[in-house]
Amino acid sequence: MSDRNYWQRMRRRQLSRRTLLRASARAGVGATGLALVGCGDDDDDAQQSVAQAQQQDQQQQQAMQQQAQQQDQQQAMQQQGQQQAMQQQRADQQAQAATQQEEVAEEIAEGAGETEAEWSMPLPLDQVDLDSEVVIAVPSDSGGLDHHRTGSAQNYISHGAVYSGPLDRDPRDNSMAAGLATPEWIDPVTLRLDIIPAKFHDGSTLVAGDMVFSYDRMGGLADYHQGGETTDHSGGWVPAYPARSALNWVRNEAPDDRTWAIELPAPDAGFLTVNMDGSGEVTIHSQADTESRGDLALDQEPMGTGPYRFVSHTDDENFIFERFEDHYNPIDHPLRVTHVPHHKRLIGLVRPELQSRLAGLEAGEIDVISEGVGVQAAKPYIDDPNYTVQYQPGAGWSVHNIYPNLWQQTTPDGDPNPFLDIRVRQAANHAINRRAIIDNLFLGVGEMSMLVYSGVPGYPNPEQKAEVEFDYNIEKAKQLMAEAGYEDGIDVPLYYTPDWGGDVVADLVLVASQDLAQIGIRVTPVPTLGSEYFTPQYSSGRDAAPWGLYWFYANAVPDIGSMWECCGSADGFFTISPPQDPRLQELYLAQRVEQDPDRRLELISELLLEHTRQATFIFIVEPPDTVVTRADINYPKGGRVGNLNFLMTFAIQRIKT
Amino acid sequence: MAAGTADAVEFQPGMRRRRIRWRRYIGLSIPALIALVVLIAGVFAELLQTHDPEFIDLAARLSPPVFDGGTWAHPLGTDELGRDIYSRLLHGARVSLIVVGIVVPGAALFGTLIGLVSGWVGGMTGQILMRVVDLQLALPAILFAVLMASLVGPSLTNVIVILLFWTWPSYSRLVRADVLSLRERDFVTASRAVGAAPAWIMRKHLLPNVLNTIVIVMTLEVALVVLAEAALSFLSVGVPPGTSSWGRMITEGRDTMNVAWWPIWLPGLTLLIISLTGNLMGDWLRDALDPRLRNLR
Amino acid sequence: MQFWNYLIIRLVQAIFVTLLVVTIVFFVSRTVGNPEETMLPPLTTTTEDKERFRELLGLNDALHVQYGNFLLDLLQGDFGTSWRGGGTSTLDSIGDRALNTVKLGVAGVVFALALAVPLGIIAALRRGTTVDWLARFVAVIGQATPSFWLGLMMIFFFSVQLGWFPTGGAKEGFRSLILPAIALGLFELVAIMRLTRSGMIEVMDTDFVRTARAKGLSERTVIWRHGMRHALLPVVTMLGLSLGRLIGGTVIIEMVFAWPGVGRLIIDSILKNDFPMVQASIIVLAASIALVNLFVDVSYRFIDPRIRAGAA
Repeated sequence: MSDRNYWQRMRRRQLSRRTLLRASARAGVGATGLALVGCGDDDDDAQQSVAQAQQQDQQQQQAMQQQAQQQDQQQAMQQQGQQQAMQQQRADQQAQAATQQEEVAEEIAEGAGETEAEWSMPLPLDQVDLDSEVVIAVPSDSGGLDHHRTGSAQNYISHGAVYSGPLDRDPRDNSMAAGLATPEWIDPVTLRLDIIPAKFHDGSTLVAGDMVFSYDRMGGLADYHQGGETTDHSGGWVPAYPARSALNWVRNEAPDDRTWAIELPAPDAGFLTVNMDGSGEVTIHSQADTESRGDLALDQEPMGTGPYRFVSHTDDENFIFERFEDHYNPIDHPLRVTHVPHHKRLIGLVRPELQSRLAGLEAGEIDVISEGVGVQAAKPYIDDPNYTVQYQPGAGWSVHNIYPNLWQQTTPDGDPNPFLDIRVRQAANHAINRRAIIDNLFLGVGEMSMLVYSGVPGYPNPEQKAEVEFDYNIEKAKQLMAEAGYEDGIDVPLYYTPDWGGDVVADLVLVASQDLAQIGIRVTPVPTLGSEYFTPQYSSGRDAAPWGLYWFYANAVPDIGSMWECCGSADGFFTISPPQDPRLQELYLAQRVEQDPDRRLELISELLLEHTRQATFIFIVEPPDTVVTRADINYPKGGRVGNLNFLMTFAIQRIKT
Repeated sequence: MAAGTADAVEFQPGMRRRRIRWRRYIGLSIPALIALVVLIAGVFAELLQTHDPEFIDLAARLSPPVFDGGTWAHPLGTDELGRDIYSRLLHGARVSLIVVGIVVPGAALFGTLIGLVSGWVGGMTGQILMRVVDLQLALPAILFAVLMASLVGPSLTNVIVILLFWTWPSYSRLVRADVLSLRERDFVTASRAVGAAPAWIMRKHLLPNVLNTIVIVMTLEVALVVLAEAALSFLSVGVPPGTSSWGRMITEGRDTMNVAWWPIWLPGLTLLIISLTGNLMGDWLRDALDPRLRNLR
Repeated sequence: MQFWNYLIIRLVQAIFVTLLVVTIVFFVSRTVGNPEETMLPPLTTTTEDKERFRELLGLNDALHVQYGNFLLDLLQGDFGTSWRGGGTSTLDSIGDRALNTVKLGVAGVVFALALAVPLGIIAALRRGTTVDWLARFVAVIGQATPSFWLGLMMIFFFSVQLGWFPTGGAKEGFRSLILPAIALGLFELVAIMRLTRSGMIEVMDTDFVRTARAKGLSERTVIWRHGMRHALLPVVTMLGLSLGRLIGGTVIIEMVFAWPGVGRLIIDSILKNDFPMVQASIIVLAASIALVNLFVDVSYRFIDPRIRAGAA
């Protein structure tokens, strides 16, 4: 097992580009030539972008003034004042960001190794073709584009392009950064957020009411979408995130246009990361627009505050977006060089077959393949100068674990459930040859999985993790099985869904089954459809879930809270999750109310380590997402936040030739 | 190539009869030999295999075949999980044999029965039966397979049921056409005149006369069924993963197609050869037994 | 008058077949599967949602009542609502895709016909020569090649290695259409070629062709005016009959070539558990196949008046 996080090992070519950048930085552009712009240095690009920023500010002011004419004079002045205050704040942030970025640039200049940054920087703008078009291939279409509705939230390109969330992630340390909103805790249960006057694509200005509306809508609460009468969805409104309903807050309102207030039923330190992270699933819609055009229109022609304007979507064919010039962005976002995308158009091309996607890349029709390309399929491109291959922390189906059903006390034959015995679970974990999987299936890139993917804040550091990791030790495993009284082994079904997660899941299921068979855990893989996979557990209560093993691949959840709600706790909807262990429960509750962020991360870390110690799952592997691009594309690393296509497609650059 | 001989010879004038026959059997011998090989491979897969076909050896993944720089450890190389392709092909033959072995006779039996009845009874019943037969034309097997898979998930049983459903009408249609013409023939009308029972007439007069047709169609259907099974597996509505079927192997070989040719080419070629064999044997039988049926497909 | 009778009979038959398909789809989906599980999105559906859904679809009624309502809805053009497309009617989504599938199907048939008929005729006229031998060799191979495998190989060879065609999608119009059309049409090509060849051989042996020759008509006139017309009749029938196979083929080809047609819609809908869409697509496809078969039969009657009503 790697003793370092794997994404710190960068591809050589990526490094050589860095070396090149370093050279250019030394050559007089200055460190800010890298980190650049928006930071107010004296380089040309910076000036250009500052000019842009100022222009934007003017536009915003004009918009504000227009609004002001319609509104109470006093209120308008108040707003102006607020805006000025905000500009002041932004200036401060700029200064801060500049310092940070200089530091980072210096780190990069020191070259690879310990200080290497976990995300790569955009190139200076004079090296970038700003009028270009970038084509990203995706394996499947999302159908609808309304991310508040079930079945639509499947295409992250359309999501990240059109919408922005209340908060952003800083890719460097995964901490929350201001997005559309700047949060402030009044007390442990009261949150006050200042809303910036960002522009929607239709020219209107974001108000706090839109936030309230979007959150109610997301949880399926807004009257407008309820009851089956006012909605144009004949099956009734099916919200995508019922978990984010009123259960999460007791008050959600907008005292005025720039202020949004939320009151929680109980302290929840993870509230921001779980519920407000724009790189997660949260999208902000315009209330006026949604109500005038209707839900269906929004699903077909989405409109938000994101970096791209929606142009067209042909089902199963493509998505086309173009740069939204008035995009408002938090100034201190290290990747947002020009405040707007570094290319003119973004096209998502739907290609179900991997080989067809690769063929498109080779034929020059496609610039980026970032989803569903395995490490193996990308291998031929590693040494080809026409392409760049990167490994990113997974945004896809990245955590591969086997969940033993720990709810059923007995097997169907009436014997006690063997997986309730920790020794059996430990034995199973010792039987998985992760080294062989990582070295052969993932070319040495990847690590043992834990409960959550490694980008989640609080993920244990490599040393801590190494202590709890299970080594491949058949003898020990057999001994544990014998101690638990299962020398003769166990016959058990393993449920999985081949249609999710792609071929890699089918492969891993077979490999894991064979590994487990070595110690007598004789697994029968049972392929099931997605609907069957979840429905019995979810609808009929956890007692209905048949005894057995379940394959689980977790998304890049933003916070331990999301994972806990889903899959780690007794209350999770994924009801085969482990029963309430007092220690785990205690740790979870402790981190929830912990107000000190550092202490909270420690608690989360301990929670994850304890989960692994108890071997609640059979941990398999966390492979990377592989990204293959054409060589003239600079596809910045997303850092721990994960693969860029999640949200930061705007940072993709086409290098001028 | 033996492919064309049977057909090519039949109209050529001035050939001695004896020679024609001799060459005809050459046309049969090669496909028959291949069929025999497949039969042996499928039946004795365990004896002939060099590895457990499902045994995963990650360290040996994607080893090339012996004629492309590989070793004799894996004569035809390994796939992306290090499974031995030669052994998998053997077991794939078994899956194909099972599918063919159930589907082809089953469909022939059922289809013939319906064809006989509908041709003999005629009238409204015959018409209704034939419209049921037309269903096959209106509901392509793949759509039906997809419907079933969306309801109960993919399985070998599914594949068999779907292919049965899909293939029996071919027999019915042809048998019915034969029966319609036979029932006006003297020996049948005579039997009816003396009051023979319909079942007796069917068994004694009709069945022997449609047997040729059935045998030919059965042979031709073999190739179709093998290809269909592969196609269903390709769409992931066929045989579930973890089973060595040729279609499955092609599906699994797709993703490494750009780094290794053998995992997709070897089962692909096998499939091609087998379905070629089926077609050639069918063609041969058709020419030998019943040239009338030349337009069958 | 006789023609109208025939037309009505065939129409009734087509409706009967379509009804059978609808019935099968209905009963298979209601009995083999559980509508709640297949028709509602997983994960996010609560017990209340399910209850509302049961009400809405009348799942609490007896099966035959449900069946009646299902048919009534279909007659009124209500094919159900896709839950993934933002509540769009499934029929709308299918309509968008149908044109693409038709394009692909027609291109496949045109490709097959354009090559198969001349090849078949040449092979028939030059029986026993290298041309004949070659044509039949290609035919045998073509019929035995799995189309999905061929498609992948063609993409790799023609699109990637040679760069002649796009690797997928329907963006580049005609250029996009070529490879999928070939992969789809190959099987039909072989069938048509064999049929043309044998038909032509038969026709050229018949009395009226001999008479035409005896009259001193040029060989070209004999072949084109007399021979071909008769040799092609079975080809027309077969095209009608093979439509189902063709549509089945498009499902595979559309997946391989990322062609945005109905077939891909079906497969995608399965993966997304959008059962209403799967159901509606299958019914629409089956109905259109029945319709085309009807059309072929009727037009066949125009071409060849010898066919007796009902004998088809």
